[in-house]
Amino acid sequence: MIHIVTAANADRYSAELLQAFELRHRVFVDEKGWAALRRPDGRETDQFDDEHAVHMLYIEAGAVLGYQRLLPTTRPYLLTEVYPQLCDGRAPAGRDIWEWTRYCVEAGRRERGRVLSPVAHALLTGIVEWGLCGAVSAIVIEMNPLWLLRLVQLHFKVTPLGLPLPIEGEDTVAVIARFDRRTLDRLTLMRPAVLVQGERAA
Amino acid sequence: MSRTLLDRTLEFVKLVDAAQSPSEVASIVLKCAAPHGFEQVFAGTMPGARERAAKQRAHVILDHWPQSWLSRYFSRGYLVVDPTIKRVRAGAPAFYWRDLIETRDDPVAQRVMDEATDFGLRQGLTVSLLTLDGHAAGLSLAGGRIEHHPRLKGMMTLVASYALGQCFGLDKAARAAPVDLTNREIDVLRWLAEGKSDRDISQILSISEHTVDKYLRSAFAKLGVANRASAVAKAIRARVIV
Repeated sequence: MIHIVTAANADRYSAELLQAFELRHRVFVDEKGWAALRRPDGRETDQFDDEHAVHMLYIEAGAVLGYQRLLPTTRPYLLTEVYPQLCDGRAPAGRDIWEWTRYCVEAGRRERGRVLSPVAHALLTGIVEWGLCGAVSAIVIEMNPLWLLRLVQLHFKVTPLGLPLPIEGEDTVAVIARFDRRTLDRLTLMRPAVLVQGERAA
Repeated sequence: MSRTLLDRTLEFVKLVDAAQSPSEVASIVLKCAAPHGFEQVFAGTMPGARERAAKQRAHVILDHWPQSWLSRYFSRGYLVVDPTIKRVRAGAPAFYWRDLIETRDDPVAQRVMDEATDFGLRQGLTVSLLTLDGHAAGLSLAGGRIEHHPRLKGMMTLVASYALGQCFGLDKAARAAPVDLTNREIDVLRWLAEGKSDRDISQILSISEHTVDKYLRSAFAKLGVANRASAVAKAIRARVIV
């Protein structure tokens, strides 16, 4: 299930957070080859892993299998500091807008070309549920444009902030994706199919 | 240039969001792409490798493409040798046809591209997409003389995503009858419509309550509803149960 870790409860999740940083290192450095993020201790962290970050961990039997991070846009964030070239115009900022970063899922638990994997589904649903509970209505995403159609199909109202550009060898587009109750309903509908899929695989 | 392209993309997003049919989507796409020399658009999901020609055509979503070329294309089975299709299946980023290096040592692939030229599809651009249920989809734009610019590829990637997203939404709204409910799912819905509880249904059908719940959930997904009342209503409307 999804665990939300913030400055308020980080002391109770110190082991899991370390696992999450190791997962990030495996995915972003070892797998995707983002060499600038490489750390000798095999734990990927950056300047945004501070007291303002909201970490979402998918934990199963003590193992962190999925991760994503949300950053407030009322302060400097990845798009404004690291990828300003992706944003043509003023970067979104507001208490109801957060930036979705470092989404990653353990290699063996990703979708195999079919529907969203249960871990991916839980992470995505986690953002929307968390958002709807906390008066957050939009997320800023820097992503491969291949994801755009899926977000549109999930009833996110997506607006591009710039045209796609290659980042670390991968086409990347910055968007702002608004969501509401309909998005959650759509995600909920997706769920049974995912479960049936998982059962069939097992 | 990029700011203009982005503004035009945003304008496109607004227009396509109000489109009521795939043909309307196609003309909005073409209106947006015309300043860059594009005259034709074609899009669809990828059929399975062994589907027959008639079934292949069922995967077409946007069709503003020379019809004589399409007849030839499907009847000759070009789908399996078309190099653009191979790239779409592989999820490659958007590409211009002139950058297709696959045709260099594949005369059959080269012939498909050459023949397309004879039908007015001289230069083109193809975008690969991935649908929510994991199917590859592709959108191609072509014309006699198109503009080649890297930012244009990015713009058309966005345009293609919104265009197909809108078409899938229309398709879903238009589809009145649900798809292939199993006999067991129909049994459960029928007893649910009679006002039986999960426990009642599990006893009637001699299955566990957990299994009843499982059938219900998968029936909900197929019917596109979120709760029991809507499931019964929709099943009756679609004459799945009477």
